[in-house]
Amino acid sequence: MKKAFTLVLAAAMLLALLAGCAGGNGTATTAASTTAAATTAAATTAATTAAATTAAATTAATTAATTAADTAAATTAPAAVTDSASLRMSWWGSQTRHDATIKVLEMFMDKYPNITIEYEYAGWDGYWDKIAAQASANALPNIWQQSVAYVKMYAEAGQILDLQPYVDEGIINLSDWSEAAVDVTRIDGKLYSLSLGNAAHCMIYDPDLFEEAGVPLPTMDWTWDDYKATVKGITEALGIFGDGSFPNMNSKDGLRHYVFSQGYSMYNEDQTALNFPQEMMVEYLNWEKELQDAGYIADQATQSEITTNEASLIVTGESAINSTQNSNTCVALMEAAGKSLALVCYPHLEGETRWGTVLAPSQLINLTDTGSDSDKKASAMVVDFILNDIDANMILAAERGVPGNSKVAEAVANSDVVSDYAKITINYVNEVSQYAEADPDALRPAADGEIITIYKNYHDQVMFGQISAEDAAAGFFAEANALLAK
Amino acid sequence: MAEKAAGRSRRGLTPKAKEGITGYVFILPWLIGLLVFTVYPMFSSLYYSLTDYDLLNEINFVGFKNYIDIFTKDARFLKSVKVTLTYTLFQVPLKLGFALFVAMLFKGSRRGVNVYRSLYYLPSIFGGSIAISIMWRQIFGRTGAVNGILKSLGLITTAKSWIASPDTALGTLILLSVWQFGSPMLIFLAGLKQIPQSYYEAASIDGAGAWKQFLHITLPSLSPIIFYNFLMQTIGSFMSFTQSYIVTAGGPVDETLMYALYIYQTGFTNYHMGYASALSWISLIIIGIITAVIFKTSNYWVFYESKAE
Repeated sequence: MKKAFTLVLAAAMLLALLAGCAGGNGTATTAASTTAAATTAAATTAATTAAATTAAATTAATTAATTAADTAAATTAPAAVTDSASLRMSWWGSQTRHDATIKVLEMFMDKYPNITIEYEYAGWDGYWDKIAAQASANALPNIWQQSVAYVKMYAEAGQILDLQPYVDEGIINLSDWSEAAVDVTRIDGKLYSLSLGNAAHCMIYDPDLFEEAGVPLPTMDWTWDDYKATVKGITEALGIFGDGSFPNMNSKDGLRHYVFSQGYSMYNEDQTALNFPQEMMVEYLNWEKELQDAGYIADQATQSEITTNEASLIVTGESAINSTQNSNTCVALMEAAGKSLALVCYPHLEGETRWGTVLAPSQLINLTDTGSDSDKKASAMVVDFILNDIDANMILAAERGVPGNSKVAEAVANSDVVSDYAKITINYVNEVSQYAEADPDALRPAADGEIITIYKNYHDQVMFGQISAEDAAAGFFAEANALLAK
Repeated sequence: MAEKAAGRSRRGLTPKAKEGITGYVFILPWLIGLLVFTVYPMFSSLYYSLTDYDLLNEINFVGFKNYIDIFTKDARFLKSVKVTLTYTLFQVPLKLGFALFVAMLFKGSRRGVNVYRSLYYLPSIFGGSIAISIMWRQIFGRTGAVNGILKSLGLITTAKSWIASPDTALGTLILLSVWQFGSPMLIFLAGLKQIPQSYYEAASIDGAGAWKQFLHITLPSLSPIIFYNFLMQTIGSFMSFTQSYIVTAGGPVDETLMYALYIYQTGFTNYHMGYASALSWISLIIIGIITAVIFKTSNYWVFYESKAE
């Protein structure tokens, strides 16, 4: 009896353990590995996990491409490449972007059946670890999405191609692009990348909350004093934060706009030193701390916890304004909030005529210096297709920003593929581009990432009351200038 | 043919040598793995630490510059060492203390004690995973469960973010680690079971109370195991990375910048691979020194029954 009972108990425990292990551990490990792929991992692990998860997708895509009927599409094909090419492409983004981009690539492969594209995509975090690892192994993809923060680094290391020859040959057609839209991505006159979408910096706000609080709506030419009065008004009337994300995740952007609106810029012409007076930083930090301590803008601890759009304070209703970096991220915010919000420029200084907002490419696309000449030409064709083909851009729906090709931008804005939210941002960018300047720091120096970390450290210490603004400014200037001087 | 065979055995390998070679052949897969994935990268890293390797550009030899810079110019290095030491100093004794306490509670053979042992062991199985770290960030966040409970109990009025405030961020990580005390607990249980019951009986006949028995019988008998656990936990604690990366990302103002995380940021975010390699070797030296100290002092407090007369 005892023996039988023990046996049954043991069997039951074993089954429970197996079920628990298989189910629990299994889901934990899958969840862990998907989160690992999405958030982080050592570079190689990210590469293997991403490759494994997209292996299924790519096999499906290539089979679809090869079995798809050869549509005799009447297209104005640029300089046709007759050799077959097998290319790789990478980009980062959200699932919406992945789905849209994959559709566009399949469209391309249908049009040019002799070119196959294997793609890999990831979220922002894992993407750069992978690219860095691939760069050091000389295994970068042929075409990949680039960031303004890193393009200079890769250009200086000689890893990416100058696109000008392909433009001159006619493979990449820039006839509908404005000069400014092309020049903003030039480095030393060479065209190492092209903008996948332009955006303008903005603050997004909820007009309903403003109405409720009885605070006047911000206008495009409002000043920093107006801003302070506005956030104060909101907090006093509604008890919520006036602004839920000033100065934004990177912290540096608050300083950047403050400095820019006073006629300076973060970096000088050759990006070898900071380009604004140290006292301005002290003034700015004290001003920001005052607003945070008073509760008009969200405090540092609260802000550093917010990592997703859904958690944003403007979405949860805990703030009336969110100072957001790029206008195209506003679409996702509005979708998370489930309603239309309004966009406005950053404030400028009383009396100064320079606007507080700049126009900048939000992401870039570039080609790696790898493979045969015909591979490079094929890659250039892909870039041209993504940037200039109207049907393709109808699918991409300006999710990466307003297209540089003005005809495409117009077509997309007037169509109904863009949601109402996207129309709001596109209209904002169009309005702002009338009087905003191009971002003087559009392409960041190689040390920019580290400088942001250093700045964030000093900035947070001031906000938490650990050091004074003067010490922070002195320390930051010393370290940043040392890094830039290298 | 006999000559050939004779010649072979005389000039060939002795049976003992053959046995040795057979052994090596059997462990060849593991040996190759060790050489390729551990030894080679170790020495590469030593080489890179003497250069300015940054993944993209050409490599320049710079000698000991990285090491000198680390000790003279790097405030974040000192901060990360301080954070890691604080973390270790708190979580190792707390964790082992809890482990021993719970092991003492459950060393008996009452009903259901196995269930409790398993339950307390569970956290240490999956506690180090990314999923748990993400969950921890949720729980201790501003809108998380902990704040919810504290609010409903009326202990606090405004929600505070435990993981984003400089004074409590490290505490949440320490808590996460101490929560995983199950695995040292099991080892202690095994050790406790080995202490002969006769010692306790003799002691109670002599009139020693429970506390005295614990101090003078349990602890000394367990001391080799305490030593083992202490050493392993300390070394593991110095290499802790996942928790601080996921839960606090280095924390508000570097308050939770663990050494391993600092190495990762330097190498993979800022691309200073040479510098990061130098940091890794310094870490090896620090851990080596601490381990040596622990071993040395163990002569004074670890009692090995086998060495007693």
